[in-house]
Amino acid sequence: MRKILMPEKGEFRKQGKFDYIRSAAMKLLASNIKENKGNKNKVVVLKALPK
Amino acid sequence: MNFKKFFYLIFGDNPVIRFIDHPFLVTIIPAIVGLYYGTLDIWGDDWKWVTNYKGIHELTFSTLAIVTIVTLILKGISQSLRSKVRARQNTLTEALLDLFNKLVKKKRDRFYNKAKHLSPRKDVFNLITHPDDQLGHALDETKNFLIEGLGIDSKNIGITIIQGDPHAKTKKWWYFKKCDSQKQHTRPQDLMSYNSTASYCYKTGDSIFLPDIRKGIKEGVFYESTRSRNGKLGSIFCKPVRITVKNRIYVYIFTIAVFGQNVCSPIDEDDCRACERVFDEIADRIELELYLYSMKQYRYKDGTVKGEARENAQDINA
Repeated sequence: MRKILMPEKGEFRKQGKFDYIRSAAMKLLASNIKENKGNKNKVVVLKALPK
Repeated sequence: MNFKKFFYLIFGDNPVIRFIDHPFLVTIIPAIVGLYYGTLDIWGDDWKWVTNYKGIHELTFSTLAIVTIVTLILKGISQSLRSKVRARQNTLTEALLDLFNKLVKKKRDRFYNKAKHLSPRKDVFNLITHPDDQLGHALDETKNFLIEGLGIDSKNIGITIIQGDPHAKTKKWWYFKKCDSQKQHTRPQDLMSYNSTASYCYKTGDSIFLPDIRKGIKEGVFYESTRSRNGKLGSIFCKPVRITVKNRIYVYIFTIAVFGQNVCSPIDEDDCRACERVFDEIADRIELELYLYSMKQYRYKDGTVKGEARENAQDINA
């Protein structure tokens, strides 16, 4: 399994500088990558880890 | 909300802009406005449905004219923004392809040189596979991708492969590969003993991407070093690789860490997914070389009579 552990919106006050153009470009690039890895390698987005 | 974010939200990829940009609207609106204006101008005094409802037509035409002007302005700005995104996408694609191509090229050049002088009795596997070199090269090229493609400051990047010996009585961990050997990294033994991203990966067998290391600290899956404490911001991607060659297990943890800045917007799920997907692709190439390296280790070191004897001696002594 592939995990992404993301913070909640507003969880941390200080945020880094973000390049929105780079972010949009990255999404387009990733959308062009085909994934044929099946369920074993599915991506799970978590806001907290299970205790 | 800062100005750049506001600007991007208004003129970037959103439902209104997508609606305005629809080919049907782009073709039909200017044609309707032109036709309507022409009708009013040419037959305005002759046709009763125009002369009798002058007020309505004034309002309709003014509305259509304003909508057209606003639409054109929005479309113009969004198009220029889109061309910037496209240019950046090209840069990113080129950087990623460059990374993959250079890995292939290095192998191809080696195969080409070895093939010229190959004799029938030579050990081809040993001759053509040099995963050790290839891994060092892959780490350097990954760093280049982060610099050229994602615009990450080179001093903030740390790419490593930790190796462990699960057969040893006391678990040993060491840096098998470091992108920048001069840089001071946290001791792998410490990383694997405490709550770190690498130890979490090893325990769960799953890869993990932390777009914001502060979340990792909060959840107990990131070991705070002096470097990360000073930088505060940062992102980390970790992937465990466990390879079984016959009866021997080889364990590695591949890490891409960025301190002092984030690789993507940590609260934008799509951005995080995109980054993780690209890192996972890179990790797949690393995993492939690690397979070769492990097989080579087994074939010429651990799997040999000498290697097995050494193993047995270690067990007896322990």
